[in-house]
This record gives sequence, structure tokens and C-alpha cells, in this order.
Amino acid sequence: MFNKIILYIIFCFLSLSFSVGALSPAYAKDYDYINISNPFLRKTPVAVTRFKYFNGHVAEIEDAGKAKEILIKALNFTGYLKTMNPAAFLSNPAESGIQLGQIRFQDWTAIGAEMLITGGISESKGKVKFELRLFDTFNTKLLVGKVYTGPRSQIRKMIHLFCSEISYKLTGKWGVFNSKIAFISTVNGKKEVFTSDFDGTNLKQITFHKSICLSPSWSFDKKWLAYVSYARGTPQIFIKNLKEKRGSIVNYKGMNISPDWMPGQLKLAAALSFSGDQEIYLLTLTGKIIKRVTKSWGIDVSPRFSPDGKKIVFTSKRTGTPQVYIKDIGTSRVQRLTFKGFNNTSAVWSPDGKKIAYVGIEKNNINIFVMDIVSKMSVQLTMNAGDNEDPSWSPDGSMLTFTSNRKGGVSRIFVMNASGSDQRQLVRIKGRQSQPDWSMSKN
Amino acid sequence: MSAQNKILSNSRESLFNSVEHSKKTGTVFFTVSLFIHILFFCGLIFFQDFSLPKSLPPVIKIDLVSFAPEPVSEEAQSESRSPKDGIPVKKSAIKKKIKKIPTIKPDISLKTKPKNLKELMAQKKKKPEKKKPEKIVKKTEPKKEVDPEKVLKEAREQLEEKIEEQNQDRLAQALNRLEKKVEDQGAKQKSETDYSQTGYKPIDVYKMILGSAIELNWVFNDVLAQMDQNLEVRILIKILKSGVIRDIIYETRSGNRYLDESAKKAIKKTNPLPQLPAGMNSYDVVVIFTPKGLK
Repeated sequence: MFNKIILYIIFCFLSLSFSVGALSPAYAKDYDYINISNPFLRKTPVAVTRFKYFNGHVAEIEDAGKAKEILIKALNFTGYLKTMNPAAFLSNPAESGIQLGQIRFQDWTAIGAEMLITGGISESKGKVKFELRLFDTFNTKLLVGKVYTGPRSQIRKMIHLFCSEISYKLTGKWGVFNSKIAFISTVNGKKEVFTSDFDGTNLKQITFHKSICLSPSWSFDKKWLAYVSYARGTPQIFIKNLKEKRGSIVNYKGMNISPDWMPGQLKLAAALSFSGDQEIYLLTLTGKIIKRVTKSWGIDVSPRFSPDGKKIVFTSKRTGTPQVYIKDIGTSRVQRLTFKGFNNTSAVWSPDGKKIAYVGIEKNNINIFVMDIVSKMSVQLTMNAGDNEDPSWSPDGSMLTFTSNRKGGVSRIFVMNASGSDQRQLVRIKGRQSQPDWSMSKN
Repeated sequence: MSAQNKILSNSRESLFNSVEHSKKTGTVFFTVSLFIHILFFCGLIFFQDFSLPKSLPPVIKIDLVSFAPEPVSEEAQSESRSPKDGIPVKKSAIKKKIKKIPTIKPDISLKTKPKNLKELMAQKKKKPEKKKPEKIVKKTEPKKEVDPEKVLKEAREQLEEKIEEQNQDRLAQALNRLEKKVEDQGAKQKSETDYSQTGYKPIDVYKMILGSAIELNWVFNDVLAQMDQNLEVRILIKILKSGVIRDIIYETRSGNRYLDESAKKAIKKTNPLPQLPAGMNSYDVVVIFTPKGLK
């Protein structure tokens, strides 16, 4: 009897499961779908709160304000973060607490802040100590937490180091905060080399040739700067160590122009014309020729290394008009990249090696384009805003700096996101600025 | 010994009876179970297409409709419809006819002129249609020889009344036919494009609002995403009647953590949504995020 009951239960269970299985297609939920493909916001909203004063000194309050200002400016400089207006804040961690357990995350998610930065400052004997934290408000997580200690004069550097940590956490790259930009600016009618921080501040004049300087180029370690100068009559390449008073000059017969440093090595590529035609050569730090890279009819100029240093992109007139080519240094294989238009020049390789930015002339307008190397698809980044040239990638590849004469016909240094958005003037000094070169981000 | 045998036989009998009883119970159980199962499987076979009726009422009043185009008046509807559709044009034409027919009525009626028979006769003679009744009248004339004028007059009056009645009947029938036709067409059209005339179904409007709200809260940056290809993430959400999003479940992840997170945050930010359209207790929808158009 007991066995029968068990058998009966099994039979019922099987039949029930079978019937459910048979019914399931009939009752399967057919969901509605909504497609969303156009994000309204391209920048992540970040709330930066007032810093907490641990001791309450006047110097602390002053430095806290200064540090917060530097932090906000740096975060807004990125193409992917946007700091929020403090008027919208519902709580004040400077009073309630800046640590993970003390944050009321719902106060921040309610106002749309996806990230939150809290800071604390303590100061004693001229030394400042910062406690800085980045939180993910929706996941209630601490993303970055750092303590920096240093002299008051290093506040800017400390804050930028924290910004680099944020960038690394969010993008996997150290960002632009520790990078520099070299460019040409006129001083009393003469063209000299200048450098600035990534945001156009902390300007410094590097050369005093009182002549014409062109094409500045940073070495990978930011210790060396190569540029072209007419100080000695003909264009020669000056290789200068920025910290030590040493360097060399590449002064072959004819023109010595467009230097570019090899990534990771103290070697340069440059266009020399001692053979009668502009050709590209690989040079040592002292200017000794290692290898001739190009050999063709028509000039070959403006070499730029690929991130791995194995290829160069350059401009050649071998087909009659200046076009962009890639040459593999090892195999000597040459590939033409640009076919549209009669003038494509100043090509530069993106840090990830996937894209090339170049200058093209279409309908008498000089503009900057970016080409995907694999698909050969080009996107025009600048348009209807004067002439735009000399593109240079930021070390993380998220931005481009370039020269534009959109404001009153005077050439200035501008910066934009890699997608072409947020184009704004970077350097605001007297004279005309051009030919920016963005350094790597390493110290 | 005999007593022992008796006890033994009694116990055997009771054992036999209990076995018999259990067999009977099992058979009954089995029969009932079999019957229920047969019924159940028959139901499965014959009601395969059975689906629960939608809880949506035919007309739903919601505040969200303010986003949809305003309800169009019937005239506007008929005007707004393309001439290719035909139906609304016909409808308006039919309506016009319906209205015009009663105005024709008095012209046909002879009641207004019962005294001016000569004029009427003259008019009728001009009309070829009314020859038939005249003939009939003529045929009846010789039968009644007494006071032919009077008879004629009466006959004409009767005839006129008859004609009038016939005309009335015909008109009424025509009117009925037209009205029926119009009603049929209207009902058919209404059943086919009930919501399309006023814009969208309430749930479609709700979906539009939902999509727009999520899109407004979606923060996505290609630098942070570091995407080389177009990916998509699908998130299933359950919206309660009050508009509160209760469940947020990844149906399929994109493989890009930033994209997945950004999509989830967009939904969280959108919570709570407006109330669901009347008649809906909950709404399950899959939101597909595909950040296209990025350079």
C-alpha cells in the first residue's frame, strides 16, 4: 500500500511537471523592449565636497579652499567627469564625516551624483596632510582613498596625483594630470619654445634664441626636448636636456627638420635633406644617423612613431600631392593611408596605436581628422572654426591639443576631447602660439 | 481444534476483506486520477491557444496622455486621413447624404400642393418615371363611370398618397441601409485602429516616457567605457502600479563593466517612474542599452 502511494505520488509529480512544461510556452512571458542608444550625459557627475579641517587653522582653511579649487578644475578638464554645483548638495560630509561609514549615499544618489569626493586637511609646521577619497555613490563603495603629505608649495602636485589615481581607477590610464605641453609662442616677434602644464598653466619659456624655433618634441621621459631652430642660419635640430645643461645639435647639410622621439628610447626620427631630397632618418641622441628610413622620389617629412616604436607615420609627396603613409621600420613595408583630398599632412599616432590624427585641406579649409587605421574611416573633428592644424594626442589618448586661428585669425593653442567635443582655448598668453606637443604622463 | 479453525477462518476472511477493500480503494483512486488527467490533457490539447484576457480596459485614462497628441475630433480625423484610406471620406460623404435626404423630402411630397392638381399632373407628365401610375389610373377610369372627374380626383389623390408612401418607404429603407453601412464601417474601422486614431496605446505612451526618462539619466562616456565595438546590455525591470521600479535584473550583460554599470545606474536614477496606465498592476520590460553614435 505504501509503495503504491509512493508510485502514485511520483506519477502525479511527473504528470504535473510534464503539464507545466507543456504549458510553459503558452504562458511564457513575452516582454516588451525599449531601445536606448543615445546617452543624454557624456560626463559623469561628481560631487566634490568641502574639505574637513582637522585642526581648524586659518592656513588649513585657506589651503583646503585652494586644494578644492585645483581638484575641481582638474576633474573638469577631463572629458569624462563633471563636478556638480554645491548648491544641490543635501548633506555636508565635512561635518558629518568623510569616511565610508559616515556617508549618507542616498543624499548623493538623490541629486544624481554618481561619484563623491571627500577630503580632509590637517596642517602643522608648514606641512600639509590630505586625506582624499573617491566613492561610488550608487554602489556605496570606496574607489580610491589616499593620504598625501608635503609642503604647502606642493598642494597642486598632491591634488594632481590624486586625480591621476582617479583616472587610473576609472580608465586604467594615468591620465593627463602629470603631463606637459611644449609649444611655440612669439615673443617680441620671435618664435620661442615654451612649456606648460596639461591645463595651460605654469608657463615656462625654454628657448631664448631670438630667432625662429619650430616643431618641439618631448622625449618619453620628459627630460629631453628636441626642436628646430634657425638660430644658426639654416634649420637645425636642437636636442636639449631640460634639467641638465647638455644637449646636441643635428646640423647636416641642408634642412634638418621635424624631429620626433622614439617611445621608450632616446632615439629620434627626423627629416634631413643632405642627400638632396627630404628623407627620414633614425638618429641617436647626439645626432648620429642610425638608419635611413625612407628612400623615395618626392619629399618625406614629419615622421611620428607608433606607440611601440616599430612603425612611423609620415607625410610624403611621392605620388605628387602630400599624403599620409605608414612605414614599418623593420620590414620597410609602406602603406598609404589617405586618398581623399590633395593635401593631408601632420599625422600623429594615438597612444593606443589604433588611430591617426592628421590635417587635411578640403575646400580651402584646414581641419583636423582622425582615421581608424584598420577600417580607414576618417572623422572630421574640427569644422567651421578657422584653420586647425598641428594635432597632438594627450598621453591617455582621451584628448587632442591643436593650433587654431578661430579667434580673430590669431593662432592659439586649443584642446578638445578625442571625439571632437569640448573644444576650448588652452593657453592664454600674448603673441601667437602654435605646434603644441603633449608629453607622456610619466614623472 | 474446531475453535482454532474458526478463528483461523475468521482471520483469513478479515484479511481477504481488507485486501478486497484496499483493491477497491486503489481502483477508485486510479479511476478518478485517470479521469482528471484525461480531462487535463484534453484541455491542454483543445485550449492550446488559450491566453488570459488582458486586464487593459478598452479606454484608459492616465495623466501620461498629455505627452501624446491630443484626441482629434471626428471631423479632423476624417480630414487628417489620407484619401487613399477611403473609409473616412466615404463616411463623411455618407453623412452628408444622410443629412441631404430629408431636405429633398418636401420637394417630392405632394401634400403641399393637393389643390393644384393640374400643375402637378403637368409636372408628372414631364417626368417619365411617373408614367406608370398614370396608366394605372387610366385603366381604372372606364370601370367607374359615375362622376369621372370626382373619381379621377380621388384616384389621383390616392395615387399621390401611395406614391408618397412608397417614396417615403424607399427613402427610409435607403436611409436605414446607409446608416447600417456607416455603422458597420465605423465599427470595423474602430476595432482595427482604435488607438491609432488618437495616437498611441497608453502603454506605448508609457514606454516612450520610460525610454525618455532613462535616456535622460544615462551617463555614458566612451573614454571610460574603452569600447572598440558596439555592445549592448539588456536589463529586465519590473515596474509596479505606483511607478516604482522593483526589480532590476541583467538579462544579458555586455561584457563591458562600465556599460553595464552605467545602464543600471540610469535605471536607478529614473526610479520612481510615473504611475502605470490604469488597469495595469505591474509591467515587465527589457531595456536595451546600445551606446551607438560614439566616435
